[in-house]
Amino acid sequence: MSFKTKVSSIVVLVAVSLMQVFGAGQQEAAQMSADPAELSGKITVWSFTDEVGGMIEHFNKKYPNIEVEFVVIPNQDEVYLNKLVTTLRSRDNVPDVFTGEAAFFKQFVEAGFWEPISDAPYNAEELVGDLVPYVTDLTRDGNGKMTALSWQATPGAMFYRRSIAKEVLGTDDPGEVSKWTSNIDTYYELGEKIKEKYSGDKFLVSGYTDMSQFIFNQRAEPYVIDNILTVPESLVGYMQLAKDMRDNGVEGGVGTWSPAWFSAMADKSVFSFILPTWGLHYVLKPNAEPEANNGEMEFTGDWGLTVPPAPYSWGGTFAGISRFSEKKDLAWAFVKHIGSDPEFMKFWAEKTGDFVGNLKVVEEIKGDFSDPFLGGQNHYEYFYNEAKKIDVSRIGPWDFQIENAWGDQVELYANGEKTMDEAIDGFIVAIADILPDVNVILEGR
Amino acid sequence: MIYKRSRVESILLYTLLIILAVLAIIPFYMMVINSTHTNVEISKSLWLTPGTAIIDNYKIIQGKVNIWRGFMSSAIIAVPSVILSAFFSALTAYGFAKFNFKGKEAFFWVILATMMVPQQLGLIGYYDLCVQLGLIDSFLPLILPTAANAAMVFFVRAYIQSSIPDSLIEAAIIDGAGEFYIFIRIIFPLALPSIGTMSIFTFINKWNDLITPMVLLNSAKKFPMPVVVSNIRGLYETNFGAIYLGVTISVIPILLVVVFFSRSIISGLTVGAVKG
Amino acid sequence: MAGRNFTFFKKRGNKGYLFILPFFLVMISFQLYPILYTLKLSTTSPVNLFENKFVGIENYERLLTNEVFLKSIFNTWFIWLMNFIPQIVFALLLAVILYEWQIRGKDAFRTVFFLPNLVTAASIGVLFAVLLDWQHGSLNHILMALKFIIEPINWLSKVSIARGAVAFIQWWQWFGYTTIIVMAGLSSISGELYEAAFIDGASKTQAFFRVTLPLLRPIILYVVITSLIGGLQIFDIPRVLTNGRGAPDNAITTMVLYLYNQAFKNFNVGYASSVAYTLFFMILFFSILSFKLLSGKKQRGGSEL
Repeated sequence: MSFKTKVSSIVVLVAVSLMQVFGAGQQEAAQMSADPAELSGKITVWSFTDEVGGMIEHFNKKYPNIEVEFVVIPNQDEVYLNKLVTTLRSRDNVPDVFTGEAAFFKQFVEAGFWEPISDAPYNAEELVGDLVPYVTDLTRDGNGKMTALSWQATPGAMFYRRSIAKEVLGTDDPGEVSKWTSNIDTYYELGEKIKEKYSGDKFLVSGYTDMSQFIFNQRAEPYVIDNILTVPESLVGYMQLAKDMRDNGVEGGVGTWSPAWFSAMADKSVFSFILPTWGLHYVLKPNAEPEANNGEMEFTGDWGLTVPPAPYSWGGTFAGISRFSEKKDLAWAFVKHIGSDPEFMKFWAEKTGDFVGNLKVVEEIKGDFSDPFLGGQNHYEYFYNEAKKIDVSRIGPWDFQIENAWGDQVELYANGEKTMDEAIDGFIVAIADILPDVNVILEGR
Repeated sequence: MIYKRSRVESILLYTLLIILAVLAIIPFYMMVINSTHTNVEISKSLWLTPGTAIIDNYKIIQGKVNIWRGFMSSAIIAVPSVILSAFFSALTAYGFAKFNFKGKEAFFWVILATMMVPQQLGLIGYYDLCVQLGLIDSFLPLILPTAANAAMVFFVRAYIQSSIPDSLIEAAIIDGAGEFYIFIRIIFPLALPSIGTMSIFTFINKWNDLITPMVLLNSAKKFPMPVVVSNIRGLYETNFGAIYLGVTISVIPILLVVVFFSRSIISGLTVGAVKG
Repeated sequence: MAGRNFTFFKKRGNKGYLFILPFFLVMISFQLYPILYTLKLSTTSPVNLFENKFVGIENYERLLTNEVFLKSIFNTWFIWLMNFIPQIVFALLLAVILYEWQIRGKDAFRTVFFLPNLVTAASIGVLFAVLLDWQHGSLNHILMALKFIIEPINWLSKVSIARGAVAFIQWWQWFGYTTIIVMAGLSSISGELYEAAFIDGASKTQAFFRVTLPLLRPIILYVVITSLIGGLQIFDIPRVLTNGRGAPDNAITTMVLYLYNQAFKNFNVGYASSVAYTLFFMILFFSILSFKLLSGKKQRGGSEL
């Protein structure tokens, strides 16, 4: 080749490469900030409840050309987890978006199932300012990158029957009631008063397991640090408290989520239920007053919201882009929409009454909430304040298993089947199966 | 036979049978009754008489899932499975029962061994295999493996050994019949009571299988009955009335199959194949 | 088959290979891979949900000293024996009664006995869990109404009751099935044999023990081995009754429930696979044992076993 040709070919080569690098970058950036109507294609979304199904219509208003195939796989018998893990490990037939629940989604984050979204082209960090801080913190992976978003925040509360409060305390005002319920010792005292007043026919709480939500949150550190599992004081205290409540008839002997637990909401035999944001609308209302919930009657307003002995967060569903999705841009559009879009959040809050994860939206609408079920009380305001208090630095991927193992032993101790030492030994044996390389010690011992 | 029972013996006998029958039916009965009550009624007390909520429960089901499509899918999976397993199991059972070849024992134990590995984990490897064969989200991987039905082979082999004498086969061979002909015309019909009996179980197994279709299928419209019924349960609520109704609907075809096949098996059993 | 010239197949016995061939083809294609895959998994330990690392026989070493696993072995055997022994006794009795004696409505009885087998273990478990519930279960309601007890009893928190309940439910679900199987076996026994026995002066009981039982041997063997294989893998009932916890205190944690929890609740598929293989060898060993004990003599009317 002549010198000139050589030079020109090199120039061409360089030019082409540059175009590829910059052109592609431009294309990507263009796509991310494209007119929503231009994004088109089909994505599959998997979840373990049909909640997300109700969001698709709103999503399609903004993104009319993205078709969403939504599949519900309940996590009954861990099937959802099973299916998800097998699918992702095979890297084949993966959904584009899938959700995870608070109990197990940390495992997803650790395994890298969700695409990190902090950086370009998703730039999720830009959204953080508007969102409830603990929610985004929870989704950070080992590198500190966010991996998912959620449409909700789930701080916890306690709901109580006003009629029982009036009869036992002489008042049903939430402020007054909270003086009794916000401390564990006075809460127990209240339980004894209730038992006395009704001769054992009514109970403070339907089962002591209801309390585990805030008890498990009463700790400052993660359970496992450097292969040592430290059992916090509060958990040991819980064991004794459960037994006392069981022995003294302060609790009704019912397990959370059992059929009897649901019916106890309706039959006025229980004073308080410990439930978070979604508990109000998805659990308490439909089961305590089903006809009113369906619009067939008025709510009696016999319920109120008060402060539990300790703040807590319970549950929460997170949605992320699947790591092996081939349509990450479309998937991101969906996740971003349901996880942060203010219009969507407002729509969702009004539609379901759920406490949404966008703080700006919450601040805007919180004043407007007055729930007839709660006798006109504004639950949103309460949750708004609680949401900011939640610290999730202590949450780890095995919390669910550890807490269940402890709960098993508590049941045995409360039933009188084991002594405290035997129960603790039982816990250590159980942990050996969950975290084989970890040693267990008790706080302060 | 040629034996008369005394009155007392009769009464004792029938009492025993009736007690067992009631015992067998009660949970069933309760389930069906529960499907006619609302969720609240069920959690409050035990019901022995039907309620009026059956239409409401049905509406709840239809509002959440399409139970009839689940029905279709279950049929698509179960029926071919039964046919495949009946034919191939009989074939294999005959091979083990009436032929002597080297390593027969060993081969048979291999078949038995496949039943001994807990299925819960096999699914993970099976999924992997299906991915490689490109069979995810298809009915095929749910149907084809039934051709290798170890329990059925075991049972039909035992039956053939007990009830079909070698002399019958030898006679047919002397008459010049081909092996396959012997199988189709003589063995299969004679072994029918055992094949029919086991086929019912195959059907039930396939119809009630929850985990395998759930993991291998991705499209909601292909989900069979058990998957559909489990979807009736929401995350935050368990409407037992609706669930029991779903289970009841799911059981009806099995019930029909049992009753229907029972009759043909009875005739097989009473005719009795054996000539001494 | 036609047209093959191999002298191999001239020997009739060898045609057996052809008959069993399709089964093995399907088995090798579909069932072998998962089984070997599980074996491979048993030598791994998870790093996280997505990847595993190789650890050799570490999992096996661990399970040999694991308290819960060893307990589960006992539980499984205990429950199986409590379920199986009554089951085979009832099945033999009922089969003879329904098949050989004049009973009115025998078909109806047989169908009814079989009903429990039709529903999934999960649904039945839910029903029984509700029945036995401590505060609101019907059993307690009835007992209190009849004044047998004053306070409701927490049935499922008592170890022996929990185990008994599982064994009972298993029995209940399967006794009809076993009866039908035995009946199918009875149908293969020629009536002439009985007539010959009675002519020789045998009583009914003698006929049962000398004619029926021996000829039922292959069927009984089938029942024992399949029940062993199935029973040692019992899983659904204990899981549904206790929500997977195996309560109280792992009293009804069976081997497969233990394995399942390790795999899907504690996300350790590798360890669970090692449990599965240990269970496999246990089942294999006891099946071969049963086989040796129960078979042996040649019988009339059938080929060499």
